[in-house]
Amino acid sequence: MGKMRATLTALALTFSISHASAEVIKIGMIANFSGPFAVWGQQFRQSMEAFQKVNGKSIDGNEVQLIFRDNGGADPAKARQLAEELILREKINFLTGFDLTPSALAVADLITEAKMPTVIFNAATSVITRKSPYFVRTSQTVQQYVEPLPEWAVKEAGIKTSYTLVSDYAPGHDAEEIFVKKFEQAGGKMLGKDRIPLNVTDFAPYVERAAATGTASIYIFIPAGAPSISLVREFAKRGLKAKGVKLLAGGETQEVYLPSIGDDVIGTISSLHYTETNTNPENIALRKTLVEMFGPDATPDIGTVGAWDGMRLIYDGIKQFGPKITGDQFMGFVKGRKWNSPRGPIMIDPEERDIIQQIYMRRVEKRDGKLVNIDFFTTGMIKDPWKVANPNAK
Amino acid sequence: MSDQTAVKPPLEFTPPGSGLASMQLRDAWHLLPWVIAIAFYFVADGFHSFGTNVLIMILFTLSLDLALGYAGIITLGHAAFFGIGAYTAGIVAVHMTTDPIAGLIVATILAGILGILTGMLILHTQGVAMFMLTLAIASMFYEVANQWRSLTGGDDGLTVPRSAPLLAYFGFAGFRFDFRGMTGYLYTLSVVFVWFVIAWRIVKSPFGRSLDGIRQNPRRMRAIGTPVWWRLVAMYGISAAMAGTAGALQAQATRLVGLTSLELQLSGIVAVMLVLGGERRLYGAFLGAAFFMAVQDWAAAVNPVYWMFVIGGLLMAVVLFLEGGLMGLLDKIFGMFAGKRVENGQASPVEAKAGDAK
Repeated sequence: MGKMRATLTALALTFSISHASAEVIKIGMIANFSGPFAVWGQQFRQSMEAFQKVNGKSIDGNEVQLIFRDNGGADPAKARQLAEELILREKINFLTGFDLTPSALAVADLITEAKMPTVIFNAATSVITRKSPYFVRTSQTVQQYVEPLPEWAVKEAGIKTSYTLVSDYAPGHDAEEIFVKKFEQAGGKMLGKDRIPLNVTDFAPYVERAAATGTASIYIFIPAGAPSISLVREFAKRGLKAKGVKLLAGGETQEVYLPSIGDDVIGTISSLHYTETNTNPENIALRKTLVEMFGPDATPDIGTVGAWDGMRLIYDGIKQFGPKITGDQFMGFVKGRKWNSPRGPIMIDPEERDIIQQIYMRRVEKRDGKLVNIDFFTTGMIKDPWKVANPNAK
Repeated sequence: MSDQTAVKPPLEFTPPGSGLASMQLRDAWHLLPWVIAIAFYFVADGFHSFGTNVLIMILFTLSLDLALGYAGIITLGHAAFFGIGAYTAGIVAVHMTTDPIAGLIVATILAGILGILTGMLILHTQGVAMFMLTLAIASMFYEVANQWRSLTGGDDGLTVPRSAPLLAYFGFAGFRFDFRGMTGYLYTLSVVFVWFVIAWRIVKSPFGRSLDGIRQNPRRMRAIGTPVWWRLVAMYGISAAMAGTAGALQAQATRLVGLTSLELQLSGIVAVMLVLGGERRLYGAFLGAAFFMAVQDWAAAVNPVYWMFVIGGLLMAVVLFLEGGLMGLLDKIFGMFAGKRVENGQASPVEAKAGDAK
């Protein structure tokens, strides 16, 4: 009887100790899981789950829980509401996600009030990280990856004229601004600029109007997903490729979208901060895990690496400061941090909490019967050009 | 199904002539939704912004009930007025004053005026034509907001500054709008209550009763000398003003106005909430909006990918099996308890359904 009591006491003790020391760390994630941009939510989620498979679902015995919420379209008001719910009801420790810029901008003052560390997995407008000291970005800025493209087009490819087709929202304006600026600086001539509302799905009139100017190239910027696929298809359908018009792109020709576009896309040039075929050991491990978990067709994209590196940052922060890490501790921790991402070497800008990384120029090719991007040029570490040009803008 | 046509006591109607003051004990249940709403404030920690959103959708649904339910104006463009109210309140807060009540009043009046103006146009038509016109007008407002980026922010949305403290007049410090949304909840609840009382008076007034007649037989009403068109325009204007208030409340609560506040989808959702709760019942708006949003909230949390299936399934179930919506269901339940006791009811809005078929 005495023995049993002792055992019970010991059991209760161990239980209460392990219970007291084990915290639950909650990471909330807001992205689109439905609607035209649903691919983002899926990629973020798969990446986060793959990261947990490799790095464990707990840190020093503290469980890390992922909570997903659907933004349900380009709806900033909904994003704000979801963020509020995650903070107040779910009591999350980290807020993450944000595929589209308007949603990220919408939560800026909320996370400042709540001192909620927020890791942006994609939203790429330069100004976002200046809107709250609790933002850190592990993805890219539009101007960062567009910058090398126009110069290459004019100087290396001998393209003298261009026409921009961008989505009419903040990142599209960023892309148009830097492309036009760099293209003209390099000696090229712009034949026109068009802005397409986000909800437009028929791109024929826009492509037609661009083609009518007799331009040698068309630069496009449109959020990746169903809309970007149909725009690239439209380009091929109008026979522009046959006429020798070059398509210049960014995230639109990522490997994950290439099968839906088809062989017409071969030869398209793009600049981006991640090439899926790169041979970094981190990238090979990432691709292997994705295929193991989600089947042979699982293909990483910029959303995948953004989420992967965001998780890396959060995990490393928790390892250093423990499960009760505060927003201010985490934000101090991320500044100036460097590590090897699947995309290559990256670091967090200590002043801007934004990412500094190399940009890769790629061409779509067919290798082993599969459409892929192949790097042909790599830049040095690039800081967001918009922030360099606008040191005080908010 | 003979009880469908039987004269039943309409739940929200007291006998004509008796105002709120002469409420009898059996009408005490009218207090129930408000008691629940106030109790929610004290117990629902962390849910206040959700509660505020529910109240806002209740108000919006109520506004549609006035136009679609009581006046029979078939509209699928009511989000136009919600969006106008939201953008107006947002723009007032950005450029003029952050006083919440000032923004609310400007938004309400502007939405009301636009309701009257567009109403004068669309109410000359009927049926499908009217339906198409409401859709067209909503699309026009949407495009204006989409294109006028300098004022509305276009796809990026319009960020609205935090409202100044509530009732901070004559040196009084006022009530600060807190991060948890507790002040916002009570503020929204008060506004909804004021509009509810107004709506209540309207549907019980001779004006409201005449609209009942117009909905059932406009020709006969015209024949007895009712200015049909004007009455419809007036009701449409009131409904638009109410929708504008709901939009303004949302702008102040969310502090962000997006193009979704003008989208067709929102017009659809509010119609769904109305059908779900039960048309022409006033309290139907309460049940419909609260139930829809609770299910949506729950489903989206359980499965962020497939939650829309749940919403779709729910709708089909209600339309197929619940005639008269949730209020109809309550009627049946109470009817069972009360043993189908017939009181001194007026012509019930439920039984008016029989006359609906033209």
